[in-house]
Amino acid sequence: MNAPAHNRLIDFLATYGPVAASDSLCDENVRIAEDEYGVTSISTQAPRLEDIGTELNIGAGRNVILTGTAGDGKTFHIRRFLEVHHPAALVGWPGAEGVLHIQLPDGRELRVIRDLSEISDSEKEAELASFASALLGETDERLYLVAANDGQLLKYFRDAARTGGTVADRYRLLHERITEMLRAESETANGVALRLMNLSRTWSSATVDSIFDAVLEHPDWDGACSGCLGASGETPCPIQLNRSLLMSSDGVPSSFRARLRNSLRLAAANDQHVPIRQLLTLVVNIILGDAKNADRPLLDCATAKKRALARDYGSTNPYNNAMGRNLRDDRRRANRVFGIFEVLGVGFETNNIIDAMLVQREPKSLYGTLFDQEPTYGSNVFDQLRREYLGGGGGDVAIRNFRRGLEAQRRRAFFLLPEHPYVEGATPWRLTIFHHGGEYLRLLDALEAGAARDVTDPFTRQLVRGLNRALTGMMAADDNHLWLSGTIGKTDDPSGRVATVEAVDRTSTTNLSVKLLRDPVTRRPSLGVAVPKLWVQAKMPQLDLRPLLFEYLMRVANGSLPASFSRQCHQEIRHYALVATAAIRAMHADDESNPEVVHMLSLGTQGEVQASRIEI
Amino acid sequence: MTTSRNQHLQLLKNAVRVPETQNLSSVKLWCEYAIWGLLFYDDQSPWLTVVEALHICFHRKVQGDPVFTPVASAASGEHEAITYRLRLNYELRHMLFRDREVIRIANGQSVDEKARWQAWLGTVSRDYAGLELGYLQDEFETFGEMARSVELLRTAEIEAQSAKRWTSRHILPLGPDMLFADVNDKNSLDRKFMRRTGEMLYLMLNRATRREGLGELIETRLLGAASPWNRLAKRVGGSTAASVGDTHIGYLPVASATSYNRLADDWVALLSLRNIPVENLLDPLERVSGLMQILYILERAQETIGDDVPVPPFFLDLLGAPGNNPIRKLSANQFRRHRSMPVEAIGAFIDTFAASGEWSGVLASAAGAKEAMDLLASRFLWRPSRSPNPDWMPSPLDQLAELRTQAQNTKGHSITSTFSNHAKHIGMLRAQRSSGTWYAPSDAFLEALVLANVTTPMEFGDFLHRLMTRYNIVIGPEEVRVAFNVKTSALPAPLADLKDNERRLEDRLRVLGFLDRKSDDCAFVINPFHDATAATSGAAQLVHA
Repeated sequence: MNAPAHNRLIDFLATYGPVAASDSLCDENVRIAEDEYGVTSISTQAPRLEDIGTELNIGAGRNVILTGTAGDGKTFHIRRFLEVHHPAALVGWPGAEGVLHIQLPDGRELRVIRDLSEISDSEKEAELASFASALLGETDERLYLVAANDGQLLKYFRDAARTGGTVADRYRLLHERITEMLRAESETANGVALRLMNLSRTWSSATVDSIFDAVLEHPDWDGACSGCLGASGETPCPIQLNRSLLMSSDGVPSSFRARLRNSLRLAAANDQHVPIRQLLTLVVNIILGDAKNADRPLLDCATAKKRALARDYGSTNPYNNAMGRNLRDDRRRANRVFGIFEVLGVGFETNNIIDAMLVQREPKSLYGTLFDQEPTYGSNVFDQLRREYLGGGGGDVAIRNFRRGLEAQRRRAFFLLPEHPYVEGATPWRLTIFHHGGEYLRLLDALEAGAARDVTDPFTRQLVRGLNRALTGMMAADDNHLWLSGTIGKTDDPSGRVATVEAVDRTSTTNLSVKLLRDPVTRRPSLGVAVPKLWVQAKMPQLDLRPLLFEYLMRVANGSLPASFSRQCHQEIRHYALVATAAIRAMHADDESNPEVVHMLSLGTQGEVQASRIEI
Repeated sequence: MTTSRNQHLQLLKNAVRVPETQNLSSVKLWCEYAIWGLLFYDDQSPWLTVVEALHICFHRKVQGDPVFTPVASAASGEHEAITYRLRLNYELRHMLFRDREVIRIANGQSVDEKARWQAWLGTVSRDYAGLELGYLQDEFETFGEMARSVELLRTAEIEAQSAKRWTSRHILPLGPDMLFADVNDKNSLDRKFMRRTGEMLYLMLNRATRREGLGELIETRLLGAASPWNRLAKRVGGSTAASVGDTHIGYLPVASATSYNRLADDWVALLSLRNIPVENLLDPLERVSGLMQILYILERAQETIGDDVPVPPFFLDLLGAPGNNPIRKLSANQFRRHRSMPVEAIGAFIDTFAASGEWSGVLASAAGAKEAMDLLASRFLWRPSRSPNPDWMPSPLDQLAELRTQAQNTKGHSITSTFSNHAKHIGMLRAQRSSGTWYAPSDAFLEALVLANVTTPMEFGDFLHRLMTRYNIVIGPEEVRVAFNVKTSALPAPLADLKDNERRLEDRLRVLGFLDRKSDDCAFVINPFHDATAATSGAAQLVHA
C-alpha cells in the first residue's frame, strides 16, 4: 500500500462545504483560506462588475445598490470593483469603518457601504439624510455604492419614514419606489437616481456551469491525485469517482449534472434562487459528502481511502449527497440549496413503474438503462440489499436497509434516467412532485426561443382543460374553449357553473383567444386571453404559471387532483378568472345593442361543456 | 319645549340629543342604547347589517336623494332625521325560498311547454292561495329558462347554511329587486333578524368625514350599477314594488369617532377595486364592517369607563395548536378582557348618574322611593319589578341596584353578546366546546383584511403594522411589543411562539394567493384585485390611520 497521498485541494474545497465553519465564510475568509492551503483560488465571475463601473465612473451616473441574499456575491462585487477602479481604497479592507469615502477623479465623492447590516445604528442615522438626498438626485457631489439585502434596505427607509417629521415624506417616497422596484424586479425607476441590482436575479444556467467547471476542472486535481486509486475499477476513490460522475465522459455530457442544472432552473422558476456560494457548497458536498459520521460529513483523502477499502460506497453516494442526506437535519436546512430537493421530494416520491423496475428488475429495457451504467453506486450496493430483503429472514434490519437503498436508487434514477425513456411513464420527473417538470422546462425553452404557436399549442390545450375543470368543478373534456366561470359573488356555493362572458376560443384569430407567452419580468410562462390584432388593444390580466401551478393544471387536466397543493393553486386560478372576466366585460361594456347573456354550465355525456343561455 | 318625549333621557357627555321622532315605547331600559346606540343587535349578523344599510341606500336612490345626508355640526347636537321603506319582493322570495316544484317539474319527463307551466301554476294556486305568478309565462320564453334563472339566483343566497324562516333569508344585495325586508309570514315587519344594526352602520358611514366620496362610490358601484343579477331578479320577481316600513332611523349617540372614518376608508378601499365585479366585494365588506362595529363597541366602552388607557389589542392565534398553549391562552385572555368591557362601561354609566346632584337630592328626600322611581323612569325608562306588597316601595338604593343588575345582565340579547356573536360571524373569533373561545381568523376574514388594506404590494412587516394601527390587531412579536407596551423582555407569550404565529400568518396568506416572498428577508402582501394602472391616484387617496 502506498503512503497516504494527500491532495490539499480537497481540504481547500472542504472550506466551501456545508460545515459549521463556512456559515460565516465570507469573501475575505476565502482569500485567507487560499493563502493557507496554497492552491489556486476558485475564480468566479462578478457578472455585474461592468454595470457598476458604468454607473459610478461616468459623469452623470446613478447610485448603485446591490441586493441579494447572503452568498450572492454582494461584497465580492464591491471588492472586485475597488480592485479594478480604486485599488488604493483596498488598503486595510475591510477595516473598522462601515462607510468608505473615496475621492473620484472628477471631484465627486464615492461613499461605499459594504454591508448595511454591519454598520452601527448611529452610522446609519448619520448617513441617512445624505444617502436619501443622493438617491433623490438632489446632489451631484456624491454617489453611493451600497450592499444590503432587500429586507434591510426597506427597513432602513421604513424606519426613517416612521420617525415622522418634515422629512418623513422623502423617506416614504424612497421606500415606495424601492418596494416597487423590488417587487417588479426593475433596476431603475422614475424619480430616483438609482440602479438597483438584485444579484439573486443574475442567475442563469451558465452561472451554474461556470461554478461546476471551476471546481471540477481545477488544475490541482492532477498531480497530487495521480498516484492514487482512480475513478474506476473495483475500488475507486470515491472522491475521484464522484467528480467523474459530474463530468462528461467520451464526449457524452453527464446526465447527473444536466439534471442538477434542470432542478436548479425549476427552482429558480419557483423563485427559489440559489446563491453562488450555495452552488459551490452543492458541488463540494456531492464530491466529498460522507454519511458515515454525521459529525464529519465531508471526506478527506484518508477517509476516502478507508471507504474504498471497506467498499463502503453506500456512505459516499453522490446522489444522496446532492440532497444533503449526509448532513444532520438542521445543517441540511441551514443550506438552502438542499431545500430545493426537499421540495422536489426525490427519493420519497414513489412511482409504480420505477419502483417495480428497482425491485423486480422489470421491464428489462428500463432496468438496463439504469443498471448498465457505472456500477459502484448501482448494482454493487443495491444487489445485496435486494437479495437480503427478497430472501426474507433478514428481519427489520434488512427491511430498513432495503428501504434506504431503494430511496438512494430512486435518487440515482432521477439523475440518470433519460428525459424520454422508452418505457412510458418512467420519466425521471415522475420521481418528484413535479411530474411535469420536464415539460415545464421544455415549454420554457420553447417560449424563450420564440417557438411557433404549434409547438406550444399542445401545452395550451392541456392548460385550458385543466382550467376548465378547476373552475367549473366538473370533469370537462373541452380543451378548445376556456370557460371563465365562477359563482355569483363570493358565496358558499363551491361549484363554479356560472359564466358571465362567452367562452374564449383557444385558437381564434378574429375573436378573443388563449395565448401562452413568456413574461419578461418573471421570465416564466404566463397564460392569458389575447385580443385580436384588429381590436382596440387592452391590457389583459395574465395567469403567472409557476411550476407548481403548471403542475396542478396539468394533473387536473389528466384527471387527478393533487391534494397537497390544490387549495393554493385553486385560489390563484379563482383570482385570475375574476379579473379576466372583469377585463373582458369591460371591453364589451360599450356595445349595448345585444342583450346581456349569462351561461349556466353543465356537463354533457361526452364530457363536453354545455351552456344554457339566460338572457338578462 | 316641556312636553318633549325624549329630552329627559340619561346620556353621556358627548352624545347628540335623541330625536323626538324616536319611538321608545318598547324600550324597557335605557342604558345600553344611551352608550352605544339603538341598537347593536346580537342576532343580526354583519351580513344582514350590510343588507339593512343598503336597504336605506337603495331607498334613497329611488327617492332621488343623495346616498348620504348632511350632518348637523357636532356642536348643535342634532341627530339625523331619516325615514325609509324596505322592499318586500314577495314573489321573488317565494320563488327562491319557498317554492319546491319548479326544479322538480323542469327536471321531469314532460317536455311540453304548456303542460309544464300548467302543472306548476297548478301547484301554486293549490298551495298558495292568492299568489299570482302567471306573469312569469310572459317574462320567460320557456319554462326551462325560468327554472334555470331561479336555480341560478338561489346560488346567490348569503348565509345559506343558517336555517332561518323563509322570510328571513336573503340574497346578495345587488339592486333594489334583490332586497327583502325581514318580516313574518303576514308580511309585517317584525325585525326578527334585522333590527337596526344596519341603520347604525349607515349612520356611522354618514358621519364619516369622507361620506361624499364614499357616496359617489356606492352610487357608481352599487346603486346605479344596474347589475345584471338585479335585472334577472326583476324578471323572476315581477314588477310589483311593494314595500313596508316608513320607520325612523335608530339613534347613534356619538357625532364623530375615528372608527367611523376607518369604516368609511375600508368601504372606499374595497369599492375602489374596480377590476373585479362588485358582488365579489360584499363578503369582505360585511366582514370589515362587522369588525369596525365591534371596534366601535370596545372603543366606546373604553371611553365610557374613562380611565384613559388604550383598548387592549386583539391578539390572533394563527397556529391553531391544540391544548392550552401560550398563544391560545393569550388570545383567549384578550377576549375575556374585551368581553368584560361593555358590562364595565354600563357600570360606569350608572355610576355617573349615581354621582349626580339630582340623584343625591332623591337620596336626601323624605319621599325618596317615589321620587327615585319617577327619576329612573324618566332617565332610564325603567321601573322596578313589582313587589308582592303593594304598599311597600323599594328604597332608592335598592332600585338603583336592581337597575344596575338588569343593565349588566349579559344573558339574552345584550351588547356583550352582540360583541362576541359578530366577532364570530366575521371569522375573527373561534369557539370550541371544551377549549373555550379565542381569536383565530378564518381565511375569509384574512382575505377581507388584505383586500381592504393593500393596494400596491405592501411589505409583510408594513401589513402587520397596519393591522395594528387600524384595527388594533396584533400577531407577531414586534406588534405585540408595542401593543402590550412591553418595555424590556417580558413578552406576554414566548418570543419563539410569537414568531411562529407570524410565520403561520405568512403561510396562510400565501396559500390564499396574497403573498409573494422575494427572499429570506423580504415578502410582499399583494392584492390581486388592485388595478395597478390606476394605482397612483387610488393609493394617494388612502388616509393613513
